Amino acid sequence: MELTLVHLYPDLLNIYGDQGNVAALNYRCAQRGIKLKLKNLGAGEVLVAGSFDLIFGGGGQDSQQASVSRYLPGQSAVLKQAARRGVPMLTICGSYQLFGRYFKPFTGPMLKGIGIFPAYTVASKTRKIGNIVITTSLGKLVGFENHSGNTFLDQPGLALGRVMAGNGNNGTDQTEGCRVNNVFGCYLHGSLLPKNPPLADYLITTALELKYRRQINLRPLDDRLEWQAHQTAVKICLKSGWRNW
Amino acid sequence: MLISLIISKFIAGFGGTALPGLIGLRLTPTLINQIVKKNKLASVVVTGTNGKTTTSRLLGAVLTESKINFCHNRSGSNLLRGIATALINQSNWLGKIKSKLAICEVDEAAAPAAIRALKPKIIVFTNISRDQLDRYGEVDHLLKLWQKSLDTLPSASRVLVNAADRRLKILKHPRLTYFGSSLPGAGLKYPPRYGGKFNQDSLWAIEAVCRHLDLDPKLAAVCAQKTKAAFGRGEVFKLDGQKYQINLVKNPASFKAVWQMLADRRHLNQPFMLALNDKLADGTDVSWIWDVPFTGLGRRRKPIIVTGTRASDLALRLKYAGCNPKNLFVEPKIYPALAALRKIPGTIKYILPTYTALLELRQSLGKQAWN
Repeated sequence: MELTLVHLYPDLLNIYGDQGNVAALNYRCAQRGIKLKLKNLGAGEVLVAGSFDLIFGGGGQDSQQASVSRYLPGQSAVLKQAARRGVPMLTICGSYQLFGRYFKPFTGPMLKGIGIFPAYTVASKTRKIGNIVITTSLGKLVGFENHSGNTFLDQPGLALGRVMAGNGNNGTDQTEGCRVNNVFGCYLHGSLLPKNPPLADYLITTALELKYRRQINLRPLDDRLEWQAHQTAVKICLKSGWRNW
Repeated sequence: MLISLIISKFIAGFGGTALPGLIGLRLTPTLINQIVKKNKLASVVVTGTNGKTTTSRLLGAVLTESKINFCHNRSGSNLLRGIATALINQSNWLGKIKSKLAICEVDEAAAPAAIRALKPKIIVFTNISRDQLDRYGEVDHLLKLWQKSLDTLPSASRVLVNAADRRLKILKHPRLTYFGSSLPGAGLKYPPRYGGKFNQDSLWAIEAVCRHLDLDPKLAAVCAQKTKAAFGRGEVFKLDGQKYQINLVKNPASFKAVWQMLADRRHLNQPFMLALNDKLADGTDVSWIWDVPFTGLGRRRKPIIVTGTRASDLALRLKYAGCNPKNLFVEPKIYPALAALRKIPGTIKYILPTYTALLELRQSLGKQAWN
């Protein structure tokens, strides 16, 4: 079997450890004999409909995010159609914000998003930094958040998870991230996928099922190190308590 | 100022590294600037993400060799309070300082305030890269703050910038010059026993500083041969008759440089202990390890000891870089990890710790191992 992963604007969005998510998908596919073809979508390039089975987007600095907001809306139709079909996508931090309707930075003009997530983001003065644990339908997810943007969902029910410790979308309503169909958005760096294997495997399984039109049961892997890292991070986070300052 | 000075000098009498400076600055926020003015103290500020300690140390050696009296802040006390402490310790009760020159190794986020307070004669920018996003924020933002502080400099000040770092090209100043490999006259090599790209950059930086202090630039290379590596920066020591080298790794750029040095020496199959802590001084976000290109691990047969509060994150990173998990020995506690490293045979054993892991390691090893 074979999958094509498109990494959105890696030259612009590549903050601390985004590459780890790609590495995790790659490793977990390779272990099961699945070939993962990696394509980078560069600035100004066109995303062709049907040319991908998986999408990943990371975070970036303010100026780079502004550049992405110039290129991304051009790909909006293709991404939205794929989202409706159930194509799995993972967007983190900067790209999560731009998959919402808009991001209003502290200075400068509003950045237009593509509105796959019924959400918007406004920059705030307090940066939300620290370890974060959330509960989701895929179990606990653990990561590290570092964002000044406050994201608000039109309906809290669309959240990816509930914050156990940390700040989440906006530090007030205890929601974190957003999920629409198989499109995931969140603030969890860390990197997220290596130490949250169920999410990584969910993305791979869904992509395969959509492409090969049959049920897929991935072979379990020896994930002892993955879970050790997961549990250590959860422990550190819960120990430092609610609101990680 | 006098009262603050007396109080903080009194506190300094009880020891402590940054406390006198902290209290002095609380009482008189302009304390540093006042001492500088009173003594017409010229200073050389060294800042950047990596290479600050090695560069300042080499400059110290050059000044000692030239018999120039100077003061400097201790490594690890590179915030404003550390600089204030160094000046307080040097001054008498009236705020008079004997030396006419100060070397200030300054944390990159503290640099703008330090530059404003010190009005330095020379500023050296070693490099800039992502380091502890949780503490320093984004690189672009930091560069803007640096530029703003450069705009407040006296016109006689010199700004020396590493030519090898393209991101630094954004810095502007009327008396800005570049140092580094791409420039004429840069042919001197750092002694190989140090290794690592940042050390070579330090040598070029100090050659440039020498030119502006009317000292012979050749002194930089001469002193580099004689100076011992700074604590944990490529330092070599012996334990039970075996050779060890410690290289501090604190961000993707420094880890990459050290890894490259190991690859160049063909030492990627020697015994390693990698230590990753996530305390405040290390940065509480460990995502950065995923940006380090760990090459050559697929062929490794010897175990790697992985330790520190986030040992399991680092072990996972190494696994995904191609290291056989059977070769990964995870022991979060540093002392037992070190004991395990001692048992693995090899020509030279490498220890690559983050900052607070380095401090713990020093305690574990005890002083005798160091000399």
